Amino acid sequence: MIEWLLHPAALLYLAALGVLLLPNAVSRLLAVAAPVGALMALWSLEGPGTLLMAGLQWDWYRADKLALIFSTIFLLAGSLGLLYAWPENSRRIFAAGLAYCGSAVGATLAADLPSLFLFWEFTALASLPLMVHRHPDYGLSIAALGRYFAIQILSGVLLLFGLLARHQAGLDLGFNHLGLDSPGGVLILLAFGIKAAFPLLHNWVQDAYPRSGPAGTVLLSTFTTKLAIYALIRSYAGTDILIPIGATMTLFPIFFAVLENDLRRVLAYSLNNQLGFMVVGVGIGTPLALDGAAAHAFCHILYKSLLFMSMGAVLYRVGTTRATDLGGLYASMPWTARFCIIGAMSISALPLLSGFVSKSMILAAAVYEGHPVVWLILLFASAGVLDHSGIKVPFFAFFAHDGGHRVDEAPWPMLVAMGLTALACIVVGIAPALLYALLPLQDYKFIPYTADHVVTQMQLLLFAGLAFVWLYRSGRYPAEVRAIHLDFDVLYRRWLPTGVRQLDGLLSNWGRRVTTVCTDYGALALRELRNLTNDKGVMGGTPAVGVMAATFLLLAAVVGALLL
Amino acid sequence: MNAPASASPRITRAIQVLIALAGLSVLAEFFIHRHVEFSFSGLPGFYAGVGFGAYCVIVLGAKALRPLLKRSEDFYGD
Repeated sequence: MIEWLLHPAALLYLAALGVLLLPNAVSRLLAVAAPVGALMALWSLEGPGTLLMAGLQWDWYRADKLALIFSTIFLLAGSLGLLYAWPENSRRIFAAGLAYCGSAVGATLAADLPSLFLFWEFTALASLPLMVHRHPDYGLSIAALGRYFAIQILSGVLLLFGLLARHQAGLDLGFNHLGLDSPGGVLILLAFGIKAAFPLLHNWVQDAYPRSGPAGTVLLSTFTTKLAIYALIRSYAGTDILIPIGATMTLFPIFFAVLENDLRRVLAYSLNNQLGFMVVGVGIGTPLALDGAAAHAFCHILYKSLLFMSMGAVLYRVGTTRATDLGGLYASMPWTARFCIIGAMSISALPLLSGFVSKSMILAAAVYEGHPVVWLILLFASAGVLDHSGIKVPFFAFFAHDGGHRVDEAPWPMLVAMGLTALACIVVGIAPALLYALLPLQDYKFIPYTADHVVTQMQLLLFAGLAFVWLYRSGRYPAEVRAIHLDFDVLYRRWLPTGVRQLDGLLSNWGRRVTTVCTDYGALALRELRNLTNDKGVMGGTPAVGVMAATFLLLAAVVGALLL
Repeated sequence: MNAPASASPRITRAIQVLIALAGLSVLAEFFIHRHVEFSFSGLPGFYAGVGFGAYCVIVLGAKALRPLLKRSEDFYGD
């Protein structure tokens, strides 16, 4: 049974336990080393692993190429994120980070839906301690914590119902292609869609992630959403409806990212927009598109970690990431600023950086499959990416007008983590063959660096940059303001609760009125009855009438009590 | 309101470089072999137009939405 321990998830769970028990200096080393050890264990896994447990045969992992590329980037990002967490020096972050990373890798390696369900819920559980953080601007909101956890668990419950529906229909429970038409298909797509932040299911990302601490948000931004992309590739490749869903995701978060004041929430909107590119790739479903989605997830984890790391360093030193309070930090944090710019240019798909070599695969696939409208939307969205992540985040934090903060550069573990992540963005951008070799399908011809492609992309970015210069210098660029902007979550954070309260008020108001009417008319009826039945009344003096009146009174009392 | 940054020589210089590079990227199109994706994307300067146009639409569109969506920071109270 010792082979159990070679499962990367088991290794990371053990390490998480170790972090809680070992001395401080050892535990931080273990936090960074464990994902690297798990990576080596991962790459030494061979074929599908089958265990015999109590006479039952169980495929305890499946390390095919799709699982390998996602597990690999999860483990790399986990190690970098935990190195970045050193200055916060919290066993809670180390242990939760390791368990969260292990759960994500476990889900990626799952061969059947029940295993996927277990690890799916473990990611929700393990991520929760990262959300327990007293943010300098937002404090610790129990309500927000509850929203986050409820939504994560809801996704798991939908997955459970979906797999039960499949079981009931006598289908196998393998974690393979499902599609919408098979039993449970819609439920499981919804489960994945919640974690992939589909439109209208997306607000938990922007609500929850920016509330965590510097390292917490880096780790959170890596696993859950990309695990959902992995699951979509695995089970819903070529599902047409994902194309409009993904295209919508690339579009509307852009507008919120332009308006949002908290730069880490801007990044959360931008994360949503990047997921859209991947979802479009899954929907197109050709080998180029699917590999494009996987490649984009890989690159995205790196540059998005890097961007969250740089803004996390700002949060760590300055105590806020509100654009209105920042500016001019380049003088204090020059290296953080440089790394931020590398992340910003990577996400903007500047040639020679990582985003360029992966996003172009998805755009090319849209062209080959004849989706001109989708292609135009992705192009439009690319200009938006340049605005909110490429320009806005570094510009308002490190340049623009001086916010007056004179702080130290980020602590060295943060700088090293950012430096290594930035290096990875550059290496992938310069030598994309290294990344392409990891891709699962590879049966197509795709060359990212053609003169045509480089020139057109530079045109797009340079002219979008010119548009920024023009808008900013002419005073047309919207000013940063201390405000929030309503998104769809106003429905469940404000309108629904208010609506329920008002309905409740309305109903009890009506209840009172009905009662008043009953008692008023009841009193009137009683008076009339008394008048009728007393000696002077027309019906007075007869015992039968007295009985009748008593019966009527009793009935009125019962009806009144019921109404009350 | 964003006060336009005072035009220090370095910023002016950077903007000049940006304009020069943007101009070059349009000129370069005439010296390379284009694989035109769709009929409309073969127009010279198509990407330049999309880049500039989309950027303006996004930023000004968002600005137009602001009065509709803006609330105070403690709107939700959490």
